[in-house]
Amino acid sequence: MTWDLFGQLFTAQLGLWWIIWPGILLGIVVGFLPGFNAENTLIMLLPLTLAMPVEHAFAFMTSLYCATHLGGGIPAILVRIPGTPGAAATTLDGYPLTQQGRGQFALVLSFVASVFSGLIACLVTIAMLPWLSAMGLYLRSVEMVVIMLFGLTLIAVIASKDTVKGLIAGLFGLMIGMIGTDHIYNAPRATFGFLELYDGVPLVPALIGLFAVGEALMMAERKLIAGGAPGAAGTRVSGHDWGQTFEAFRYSVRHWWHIVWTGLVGLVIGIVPGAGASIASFVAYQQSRMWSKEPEKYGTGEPKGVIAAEGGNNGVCSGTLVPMMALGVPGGSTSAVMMIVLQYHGMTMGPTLFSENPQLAYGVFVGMLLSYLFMILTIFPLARYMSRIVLIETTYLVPIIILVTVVAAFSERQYVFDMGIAIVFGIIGYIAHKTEYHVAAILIGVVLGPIFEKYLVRALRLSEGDPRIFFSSPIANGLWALLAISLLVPVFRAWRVKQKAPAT
Amino acid sequence: MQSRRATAAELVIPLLALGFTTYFLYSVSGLEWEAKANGVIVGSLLIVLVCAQLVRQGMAMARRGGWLDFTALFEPRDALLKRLGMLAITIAFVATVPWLGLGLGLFIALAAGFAVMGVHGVKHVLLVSFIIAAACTLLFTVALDSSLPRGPVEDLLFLLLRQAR
Repeated sequence: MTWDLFGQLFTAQLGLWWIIWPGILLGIVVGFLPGFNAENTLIMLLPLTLAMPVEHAFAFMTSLYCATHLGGGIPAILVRIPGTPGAAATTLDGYPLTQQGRGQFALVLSFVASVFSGLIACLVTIAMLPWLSAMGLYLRSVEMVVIMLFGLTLIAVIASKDTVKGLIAGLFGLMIGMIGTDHIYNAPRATFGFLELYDGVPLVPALIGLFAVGEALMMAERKLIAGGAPGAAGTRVSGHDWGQTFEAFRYSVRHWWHIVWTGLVGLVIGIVPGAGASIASFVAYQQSRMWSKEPEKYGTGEPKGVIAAEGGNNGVCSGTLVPMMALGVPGGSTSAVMMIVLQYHGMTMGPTLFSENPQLAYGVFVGMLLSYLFMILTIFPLARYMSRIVLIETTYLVPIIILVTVVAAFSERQYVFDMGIAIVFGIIGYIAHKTEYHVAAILIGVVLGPIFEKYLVRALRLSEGDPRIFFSSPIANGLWALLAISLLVPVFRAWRVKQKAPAT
Repeated sequence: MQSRRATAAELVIPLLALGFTTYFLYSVSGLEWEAKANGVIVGSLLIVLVCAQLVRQGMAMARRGGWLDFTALFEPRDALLKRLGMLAITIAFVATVPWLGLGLGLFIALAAGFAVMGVHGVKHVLLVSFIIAAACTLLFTVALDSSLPRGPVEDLLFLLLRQAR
């Protein structure tokens, strides 16, 4: 794309501010609400977007889509309820920061990471679109198995405090993730006779149960989320000044490279059709922890943990649109809805789109870029006020969180049955919390398990059961090497520390 | 730091996992290998780990006691009634929502929830419950057009909306 075209598109998209802004605001609200996501909102709004000119519709849809990814991190940080599955990894360090009275700091960190990782991913996409679209073709089921393993190794990382307990939690999650029909024969497995479980355990009710209901039941023993009683010694509740906002800005500037590379991890994973934000955020978090000099701080309120999770979560946004625009294959369910709008307007997806209609093809990404710039102006002033949610007493928060999120569990599939699933997972989450089995490890298993199995079985079918297929491509071998390195580095580092210990 | 006393409460998750894995393996016993390969591998690993945990926990409990000690799940005692109350209210809400509808069901459940959690003042409880239930009803059923069960409140609301049109 030439600079002239970029300039023209930027000016044209800037003229659509009146439709981008409502998209951002709606997206933040939708992202904040567990159970709602860009996909089901865009489906509900199809009558509106189909009636608009295609450029307007796309500006609205992309801004809403990007903003939901940002909005999902807000409840994950403040009340440990991920608004979207992609924000689940944000709870790991975001919520501990809130409990330490640094909710505003965590929120601003998450906003900076979200916006700038999204911006960077978008710029890289615009600059390298032809190459990125080719990358989607090279990442097949074999390579995806290794990418999934990057995410699954996070279970072992989380388990470092008590290995057996952590692994039990993770493997239990993987087993739960296998409920439903298998990927080849559609034979039901462990469905307890419920037809509603044939499609597997729905992710949103499981997420709501494990995090929202489980955590709300834990909250019942405290008066406030942050610290103890209001005004108690040592309790520093955020939300009274701009100090934490500026502190988070300074921290983000110092760790700009962290935002960049986690955003790029998200971009690459987003390009692969079927992979999504939940995988990207867990992989980015796992990599961030693996390469950290202080990995033991992760999970206790480490700011870099928030950056990594949100960087991965938002880097995905541009990536999921790449296969749709360049190949005509939607990268995720949200881009599939966007594709309906494009096809309705007679647009043909694929490589010819860039030569026949570059204004639209590149305009989508330039519009996305602009959405992120508008998001900065919209969201940062709100952080100070949002963080005040932690000042509400748990006597009010607990009933509201449990009952409203259980209602939201209905939204994904529109089954009352799913509200029951949220309760069951809530009880499991509460018991896991109380007995120190890591809830996040269970969730990683539930999220990544079915996708891992899908790619694993697909690869083995292609090779007629020969496991050597996993080492059959240079990219897969490179990824295996990276996985081995990322697992060995912490072991080597621990060994070095042990070696040095007697000398000091 | 002194290590925590091992108790039977810590066996709940492993036993749940073991029970579920057994059921999973039974349910896939007659299926093709592609349908069960992953489950058998993960399930076998899980069974080994659960057995290891049971032995570890059993030895710890034999040393320090804690057999049949589930208090870790119920502490602190003053929060127990609140938790059980909230669970009962939520289950009752889900069970009755097909008849009461979202608006009325949520209003009653929220009011009961606030009362159980110890919020004082009947008027205050009813007002907050009404505001939240009304907001959720408008958001989920009117704005987002979700097909949540309709009750008397939603029927009245849609009747009024139809007449307004």
